[in-house]
Amino acid sequence: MYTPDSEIENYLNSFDAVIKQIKEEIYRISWYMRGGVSSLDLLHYFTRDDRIVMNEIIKENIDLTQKSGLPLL
Amino acid sequence: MSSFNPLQKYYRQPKIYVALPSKGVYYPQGSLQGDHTNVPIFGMTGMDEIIMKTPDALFNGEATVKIVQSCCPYIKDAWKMPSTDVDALLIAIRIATYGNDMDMTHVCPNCQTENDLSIDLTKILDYYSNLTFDGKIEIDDLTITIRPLRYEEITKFNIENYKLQRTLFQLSQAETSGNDDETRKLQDEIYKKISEMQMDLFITSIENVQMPEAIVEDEALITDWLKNSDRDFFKKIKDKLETNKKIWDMPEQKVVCSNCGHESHAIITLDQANFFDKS
Repeated sequence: MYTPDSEIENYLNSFDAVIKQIKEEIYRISWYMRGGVSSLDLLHYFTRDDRIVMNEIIKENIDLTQKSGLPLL
Repeated sequence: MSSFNPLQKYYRQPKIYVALPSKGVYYPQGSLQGDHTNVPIFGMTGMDEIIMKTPDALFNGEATVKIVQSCCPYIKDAWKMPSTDVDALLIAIRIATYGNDMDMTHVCPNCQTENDLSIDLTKILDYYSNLTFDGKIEIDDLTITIRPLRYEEITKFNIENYKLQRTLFQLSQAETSGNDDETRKLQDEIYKKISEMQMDLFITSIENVQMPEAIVEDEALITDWLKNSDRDFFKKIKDKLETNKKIWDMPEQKVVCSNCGHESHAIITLDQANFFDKS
């Protein structure tokens, strides 16, 4: 069985996209958590479940900040 | 904050506990520590997920080894784990990271409709936990004991096989553009190599051969015996290896087409690249 080069290339590109997505998520969480968790810890010690919880907290905080009219930064 | 946090080892908690299908039998000394009936499984970290998307690491087996060692700390050297545990552990890690259900699409062979299905991975894990590896082949007064291959052996054979198949394909392309004699000679050499590789695979799987008066464990002696033995011996060993392979393959899932009602079976491939793609 043989997979054409173009198909392999698409496959590899999809891998790159997922890796980029994971990295972006990690750096974004780290930024929003304001020192509460480092990118390295997020990368090496926390699981996807933890990231889901952190994302929920971040969303909640953004919503609260917007409602209160206070600046996020 | 200091770069080293002494609490790091407490960050992750086991999500599930599994019993190893191998029952811990085929691990060399030091490669498995702890109770094989209660192996804690952790979810993948971000780095594990990234490794599972790194092509070279997937190709050479490093990705699987790294995530097994990261998510199943009882397994100290995943290169040495028997093939019987690989699929079960990957499923357990999948469950610990993404949950019990895995969504997949199956194309109906009758009407080509794409059917979405959700597979409960705990059922597959249960299937593996009820299996026992049967490694005895009795031929006349000989008892041949076979063992499951180790992950490092499977990877080595797979890479070698891939390279040979790829060369064969390239040669078949060259054949269509002329140079037939030279190409056929090279093809014959490759077929010979493939056949030698299959023989190697057989010999690697044989742990020992028991005669009424003695047990032979020496690989060179076993190789010599196999090369000079009856074709029937060879066939019986091959049949046993194939039966075991079928038993230990992922169980097929029954799918009823939503469009035409045709019943077919979906095969779950543990190609890690697809398997760990949360979709």
